[in-house]
Amino acid sequence: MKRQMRFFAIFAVFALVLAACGDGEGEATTTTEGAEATTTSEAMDDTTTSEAMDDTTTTEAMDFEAVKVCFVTDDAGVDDRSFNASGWAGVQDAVASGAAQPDPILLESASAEDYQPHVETCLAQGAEHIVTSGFKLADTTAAFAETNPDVQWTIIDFGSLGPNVTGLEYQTDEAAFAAGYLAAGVTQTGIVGTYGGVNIPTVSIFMDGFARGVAHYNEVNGASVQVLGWDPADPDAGVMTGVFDPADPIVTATCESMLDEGADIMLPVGGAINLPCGTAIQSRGIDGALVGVDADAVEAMPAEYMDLWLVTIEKGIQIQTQRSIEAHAAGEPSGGTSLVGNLENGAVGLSEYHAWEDRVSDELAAEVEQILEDIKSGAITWDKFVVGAG
Amino acid sequence: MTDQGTQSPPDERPPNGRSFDGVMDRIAGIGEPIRRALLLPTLALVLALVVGAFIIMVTDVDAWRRMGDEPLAALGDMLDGVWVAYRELFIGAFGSVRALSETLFTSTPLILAGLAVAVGFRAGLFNIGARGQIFVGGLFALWVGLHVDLPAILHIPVAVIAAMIGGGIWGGLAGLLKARTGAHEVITTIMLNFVAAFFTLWVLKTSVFQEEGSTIPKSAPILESARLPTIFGSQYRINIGIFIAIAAVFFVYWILFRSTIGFEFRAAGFSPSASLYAGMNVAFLYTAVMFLSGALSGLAGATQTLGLPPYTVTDNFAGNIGFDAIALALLGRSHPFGVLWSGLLFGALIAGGRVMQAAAGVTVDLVIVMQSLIVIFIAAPELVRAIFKVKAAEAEPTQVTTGWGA
Amino acid sequence: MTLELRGITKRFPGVVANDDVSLSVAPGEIIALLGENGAGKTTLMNILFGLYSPDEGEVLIDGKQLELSNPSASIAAGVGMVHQHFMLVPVFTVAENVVLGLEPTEALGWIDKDAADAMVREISDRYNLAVDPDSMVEDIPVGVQQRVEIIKVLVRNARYIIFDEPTAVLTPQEVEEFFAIVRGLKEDGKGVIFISHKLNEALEIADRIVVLRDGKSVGEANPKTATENQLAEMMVGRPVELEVQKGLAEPGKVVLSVENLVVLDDRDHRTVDGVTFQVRANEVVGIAGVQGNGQTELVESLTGMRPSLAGHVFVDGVDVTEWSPRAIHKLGIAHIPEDRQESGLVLQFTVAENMVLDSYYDRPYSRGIQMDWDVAAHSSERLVDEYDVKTSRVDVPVSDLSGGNQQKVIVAREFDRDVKLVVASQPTRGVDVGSIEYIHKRIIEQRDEGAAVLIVSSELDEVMALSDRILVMFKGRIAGEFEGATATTTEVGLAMLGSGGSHD
Repeated sequence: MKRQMRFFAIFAVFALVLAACGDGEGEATTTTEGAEATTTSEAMDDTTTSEAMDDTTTTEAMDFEAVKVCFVTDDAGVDDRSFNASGWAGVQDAVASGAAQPDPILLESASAEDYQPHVETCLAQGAEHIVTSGFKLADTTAAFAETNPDVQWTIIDFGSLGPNVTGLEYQTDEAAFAAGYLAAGVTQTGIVGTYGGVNIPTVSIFMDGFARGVAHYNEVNGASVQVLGWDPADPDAGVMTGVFDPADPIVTATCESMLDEGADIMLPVGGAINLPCGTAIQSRGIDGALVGVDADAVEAMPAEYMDLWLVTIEKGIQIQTQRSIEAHAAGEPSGGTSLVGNLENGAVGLSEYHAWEDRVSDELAAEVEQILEDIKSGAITWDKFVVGAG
Repeated sequence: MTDQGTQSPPDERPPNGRSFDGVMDRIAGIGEPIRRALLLPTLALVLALVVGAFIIMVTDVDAWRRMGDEPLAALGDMLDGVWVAYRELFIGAFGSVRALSETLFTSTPLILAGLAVAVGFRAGLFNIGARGQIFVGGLFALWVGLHVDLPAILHIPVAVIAAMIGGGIWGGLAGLLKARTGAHEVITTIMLNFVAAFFTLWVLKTSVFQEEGSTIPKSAPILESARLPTIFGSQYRINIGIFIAIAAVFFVYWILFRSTIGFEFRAAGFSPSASLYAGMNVAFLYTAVMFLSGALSGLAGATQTLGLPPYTVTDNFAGNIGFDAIALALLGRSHPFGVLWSGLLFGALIAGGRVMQAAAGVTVDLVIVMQSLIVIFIAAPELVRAIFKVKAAEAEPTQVTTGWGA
Repeated sequence: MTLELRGITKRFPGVVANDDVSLSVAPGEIIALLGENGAGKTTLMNILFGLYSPDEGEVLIDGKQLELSNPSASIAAGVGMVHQHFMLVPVFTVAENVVLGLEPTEALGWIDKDAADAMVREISDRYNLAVDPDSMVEDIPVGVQQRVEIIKVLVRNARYIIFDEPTAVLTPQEVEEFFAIVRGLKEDGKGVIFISHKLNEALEIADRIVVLRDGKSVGEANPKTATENQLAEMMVGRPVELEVQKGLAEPGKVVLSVENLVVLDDRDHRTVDGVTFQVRANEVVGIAGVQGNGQTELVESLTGMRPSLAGHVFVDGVDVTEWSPRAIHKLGIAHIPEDRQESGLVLQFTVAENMVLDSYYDRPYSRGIQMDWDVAAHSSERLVDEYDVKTSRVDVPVSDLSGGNQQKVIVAREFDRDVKLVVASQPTRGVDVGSIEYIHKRIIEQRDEGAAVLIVSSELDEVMALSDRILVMFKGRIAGEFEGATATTTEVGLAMLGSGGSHD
């Protein structure tokens, strides 16, 4: 478990010292994995240039009155290669665009005990816009948003909690559906797999859309590609590791059991728990691929996995966080609403194919494009996840 | 080598010089001179602060950038960074009513879980399972807090006792396995941690705990009557849990040093064979002490589920407490008062660390590093002695456990 | 051409272990260094061997000053030490153990086994040691293991050899063989320092006896003229009665009756294999035997610490087979366990805590589950006085006490109540002369007050001195029974080795 890692914190410190001395890069807020955090956030800057985000409105032209921003992570910390990291990157983008004041405050939580004091610290430091990351902060956010109506709040992966709270939610199953279709089209074994960290909506929504996309492929093409790890008819039976810590052996074991069953295209959902799966694919010499989640994996993940990414199901936490802060800075705060990202508004989408471009036939690529269009237009629809329940 | 001088020759002892002043306390184990008991932990803390300062300096990237051009100014910046960080750490721990509230609030579960580990150490058992026992105890309390409708005067005690039973069962299970099958408690408690953590994750998604209509693993808010009352109003988190923790300190002191079963715990801890010779039921003692240890961890679980605003519970409510507990039991030399002291120290470090993170931009991980350093220095007393040239007799390491063969 | 220690002083915190001690040994001479535990013998030898550095004083070998606190220098200068606890690797052969650290190697670092075997064989033949270089150390008897240690020392060209309590682990026959070897070393011109607290052995083997007390050298004795009583007085500092003074036993009714008892050891061997005997009131029965012939398991079974496979144990006619240690203890049985530091005491506990170790659960030491430490402390104070335990206070850890005083704590605890039966295992092992005298007196006192006493000891002298009746255990059975008054060391010693075993 991640928490057991703290006994090794001392070793991490030496690594940190080396990293800090080695490249002279990094940020004011360094952490035990500071060097990596830097790469992540730098990489995420490019997200807006990727395919799915092309049609988003540029906000740089707008006239901002910069607000003071405070960002509180949940107990996974900022280096989760997931929503915390993406949200923090969005805050920095807002600084770059002039919507947020320089030196936003980052408060990392180590446990649930930290949420309230961190929020209190944000308030005490005079934050005008507080971004709380993840559903675990929902109750704390709701309570303090109510008693601090003058402050604007953004909560990631949750619905609006009051007139001054912007919820950021994502209909990621729309893009996952297309990714599932794509995976079914390229699998050589006829078996694809998916597993999640914990069975929560923000995780299982990927798996559900993915599995449905595979089913759609089978239906359209008369194929019988099999999905391991998720059955839309029995969501409780979804395969979960129970942890988001890639170092936990259960993560590798979960992936390997699916590889044993013949899966060659894998969709692991939850931070960096896809990396051990990539290692397993490489070490077994399987001609397989990973489907990334959240930010484009080609940018966000280490270089040694570059050949593995079929596509990334992009979830624009970074851009939506930026937008929420920018709306506030522009004098039109989006509090009271949930910004639901979907294919239509471009906060959800598929990345480019990168290394797998040659492996995806023009026909298949066209079909995937068409599916994306059909979902946008409503021509393809299904019993989608209701986002923001809770 | 029986005659190498650690024993005085018999003739040197004054035959009539016996003193029974405070003999009870001495027999009971607190007679260890305070100076000696506090010396090593204090030196360890000082060393940890020094190393921590070094880490703050070498990770001050901005200052390093200036090092080439204006080395003196850069060095000044670094020292200033250390000063600001430690000042904020101190202010965050003690600088205001809120800071004190936070320190005590954060200390509460640490003290309780630290006592749990200390009781195990005293009986020669290494209970790494505080984490799992916190989960199970916390869930028991949560269930009572959600589903039993009682006035607060009854509701809180019932929920707290439920937590002790839950934690006790979870700990006692490891004790029973050791007593019956010889399974080593280090292994079983670690494994039970996993079971408890995943069970918590799963059960929070069931209708037993979940709010109706919710799909996320978070409990419904516990009933008002089961929430541990805050002491200085709801704007400060400190609640009556701290009194529970302090009461537990005295209770554990009494158990260990004034009760017959505590005598048995300690005898079994130091020498299982002598306990067997003395007619003690060592197998029963293993189970009993692990039950007690688990019950104390369960109390820590109760403070986490009944006392933590916003009174809804998410999966990782055990946080780092279970592992911090091992560290602070070591730091406190497995003595209840030592655990109280080190629990407050760790609580202050964590609470201060939150403020330091915000105000000085120093990562909260530094606090974890300092906790770890303290424990490393405690575990390596020779190192501390070498650095401070303390005589061996004044800073002896605490007996932890009889090890894997126990 | 001598080894000389001059004015050695060594202080430890709170105690002077050696105080201006001087000693010399010439080639071909055997010096016995006599003293009680804690007198400073081992400290002195560790200084000579380079393990400790003295605060004052110097060591001269052949007139040359020895570099101190460096074992390598000591070895190079020809000093060798055979420690009380052997330093052998059980799973290595004799030859491998001997060459460990000075491996004669071939190319690529392989041990030259033939060379090693030849070295061992040569020394074994020269000193008549009868050691097979190919034997596995764990398979050979303790006496032979000791000879392996001697070979190790000789291989390193030692000219002065220190033996630290060498006879403690040996049977009487092995002691005789050992003395023959030591005499062989002497004839070969080696200087020998023989550390012991056994008076008779010092008188038998030494050319000169040096006595240490409280870290000081209190004088030398000539073994040809000195008596055991004189030596004991020098060691203890007061006259000591070495003979156990006891009247004739008048055995009463049977208190302990053991019938066909079979007990398994930890490896499920039948270490006690059908033992039957009785002990009567007002009678001391001693069980002699080489260690490892089932005595340990027999005592553990009698006292409830080890289950039996078959047979019965009766105390006062009550079948106590399979009773718990506490139930047996409550019946009035005093148990002095074989290993006082392992079983008899909790070393980290205070004297007072140890005094109530097996009676803490009841009045007056506790009420309900609450201990009454005041009562325990005062009762301990009384016992410490009554049983002559030398300690400054009852709240010091018992580990601070000397071996003899630790044993007196156990004796005090066990004898301070109505005792029907005493089971005493190795009651004076590692205990100083003064305490031995005291403990023996107390044991006889128990007999005279009507208790049945069972003594188990590997010290044949002790069994002979205390017992009204002697049983010899060999391979889990009673191999001989002798009357205490008439038995001779020779016939009992032979029975211990499994030959003879006359009944009379």
